[in-house]
Amino acid sequence: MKIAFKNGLKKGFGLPGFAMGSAMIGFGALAFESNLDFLVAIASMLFLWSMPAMILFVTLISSGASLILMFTSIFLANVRTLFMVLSAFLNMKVNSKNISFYDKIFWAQWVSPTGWTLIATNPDKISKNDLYSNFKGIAIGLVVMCFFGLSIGYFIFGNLSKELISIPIFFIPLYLIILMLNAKERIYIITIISSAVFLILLYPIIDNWSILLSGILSAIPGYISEKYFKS
Amino acid sequence: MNITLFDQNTLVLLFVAFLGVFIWRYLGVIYSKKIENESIAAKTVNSIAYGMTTAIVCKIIFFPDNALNLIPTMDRIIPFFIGISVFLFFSRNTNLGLLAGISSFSIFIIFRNYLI
Repeated sequence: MKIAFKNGLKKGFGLPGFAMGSAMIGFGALAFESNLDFLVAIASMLFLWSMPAMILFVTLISSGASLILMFTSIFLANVRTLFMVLSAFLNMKVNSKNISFYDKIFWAQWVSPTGWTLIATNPDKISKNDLYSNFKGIAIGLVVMCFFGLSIGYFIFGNLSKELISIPIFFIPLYLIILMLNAKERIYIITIISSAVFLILLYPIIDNWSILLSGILSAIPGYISEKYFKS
Repeated sequence: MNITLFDQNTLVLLFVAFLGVFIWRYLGVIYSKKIENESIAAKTVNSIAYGMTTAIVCKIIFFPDNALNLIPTMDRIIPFFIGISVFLFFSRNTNLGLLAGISSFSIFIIFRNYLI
């Protein structure tokens, strides 16, 4: 279990953490430009831990939005979190272990697309029983790296070349898609291809809602192939 | 005017924003108890998560709103597919795919910004 945790820490502090931290540089800069105190920026990262929610929070708070608008926009923009947590917890077989509810809730807070992908694809072939410990290591690494990324973005973004910052930011999507394409089961490969097609078609029409809709619609072809055409 | 953490309004807004995300996480924990690990329902949930993560990835590459926005569309898309192709055609080697994708992306940036 300790090995799985250490392995997770290595991953969190390694390339995935470096890439996620780089993406956080942009958020740090946005927070600075929106006149947010550094502590507010850090608190929003820790309490929200979801990039769309963090960006909405900064944008809305700096424009003096109401409580209802703040809640509704963040609530609606984060439906995907439900599926990520659900899927991550099923992959980690969390409910077959004797883990307290508060422990689960605490660690559910740190599920992100990067963390979820590392758990769902399990590139290091960690035993399913140790995946929860592995995830804790990953999450700690990612949070610390994001803290550094945010701080860099907040304090020194103006001095960095934006073109060069885009190199580590580009790493995240490429890394996630390559990890997901490692999936052995046909259902997931069909889902990945369908989702890419749906997103490209839907985004110009319905903007960020296309992420939710593509995710749900893309599961249908995979489900049909699994249910009716399983060889 | 600076927005500080010790302002009551900021704290309330932060709490409300936190609730907006937390409710989904809470529901995820609750519903995970009700689904069998190896069931078709679990696979469907996994599929939706795969689909949404793919959608996020494609959104970042095709319709970015961060620093990637400064890079011309084809300079993002071509290296992205180079990385995937190298990964798929060279015995699914993750590192090789990443190296090919990142280096071709870097070459595009250096070429456009510093050489021409």
